Amino acid sequence: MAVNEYTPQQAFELLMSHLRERDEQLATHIQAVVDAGKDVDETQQVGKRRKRTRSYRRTVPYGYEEALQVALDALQAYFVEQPLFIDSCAKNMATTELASPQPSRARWQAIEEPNDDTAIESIGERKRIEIELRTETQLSERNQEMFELHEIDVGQIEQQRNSITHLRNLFRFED
Amino acid sequence: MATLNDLETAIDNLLDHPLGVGQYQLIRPVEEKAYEAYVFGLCLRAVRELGGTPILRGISGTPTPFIFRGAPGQIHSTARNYGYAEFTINGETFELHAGVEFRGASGMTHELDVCIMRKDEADKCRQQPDDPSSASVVAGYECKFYAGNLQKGLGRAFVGLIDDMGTNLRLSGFCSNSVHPQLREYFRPQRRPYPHFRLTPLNPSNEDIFVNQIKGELKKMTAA
Repeated sequence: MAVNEYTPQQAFELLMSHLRERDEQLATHIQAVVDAGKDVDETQQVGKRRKRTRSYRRTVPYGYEEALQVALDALQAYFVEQPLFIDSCAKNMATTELASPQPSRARWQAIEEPNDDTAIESIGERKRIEIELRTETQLSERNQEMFELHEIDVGQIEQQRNSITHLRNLFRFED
Repeated sequence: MATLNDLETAIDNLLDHPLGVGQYQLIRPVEEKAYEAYVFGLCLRAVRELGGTPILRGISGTPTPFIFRGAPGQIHSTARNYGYAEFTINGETFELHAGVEFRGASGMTHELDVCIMRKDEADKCRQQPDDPSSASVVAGYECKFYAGNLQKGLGRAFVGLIDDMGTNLRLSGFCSNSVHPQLREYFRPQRRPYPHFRLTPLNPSNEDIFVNQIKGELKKMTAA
């Protein structure tokens, strides 16, 4: 007996159309992930009497029900995992000390002299973390030079995890 | 019975959440680098759990902010105050870097997304600008964020890179939040990188394996 009033294909098309409305690039990426298909092992009987079998790999398309789960996995990577990476990095950096500031010196002096092993008391403090957007060899200008990794509310990550779980349940089509 | 309306609402809730499509658009330019930063953080955790005290440094001074390179770069570059970490285990001092280039055994340069190297070689290359030799690297990691199945070519390329890193390299790993079943087989032979697949906070046991490998190897190589 059907547990949903929609088919897997309808659900997939609905998900993709809502994605496309919001971000064409993301929708194209998710579609490409699904279109890559999957490898399956197939078996073939060989020999005149057909008693022996051999198996071989074959790439086949996903069924719509599987495609829904694959699409959700990909969305989870962006909506749940990426925020978790930032959160994890921020926590591990927060529990690490910062080197003490060196007095201003010529570059060779700063290198010749051993680093001062004392560190600023900064354990437990959130560190400002940035990723370079405009790289050192890049001639073209960018609107933004750096990207700051901002702290993410873990409550919001949990909400997205729950939304993914809820959708996984809605994408089940058997009792 | 779930209705189409239920489904539509659930999809909208996911996509329109602050960590939905908006977050994707925000993080898209740095998604790979954010994953490297995460792996860098796991290395810091390994050092701490081993009893070391990692200290965050910058090439030109205190790293406020701590800057991750946006592209492979040279260890001596002062274009920005690029960040790294320094730590000592059993009297031996190491540095943890992200996105630094090394000179392989063949003379060709290679970038390691995250690596642990000997501090004396790092100091030498900052003092007399040069690419560090691969012999100074004790652990090297390739980090790949993928929303979907990994591409096989990435694994082949990293195996080639590791092959040119000499015999001092104690640990190498291919880290990804994703997986590829054939790559797992490909990495199986000895001396090939460890496949740290599904290395994500969603799989704490995989994080533990990653962290424990570093702890074990650092402990072994610095043992009196």
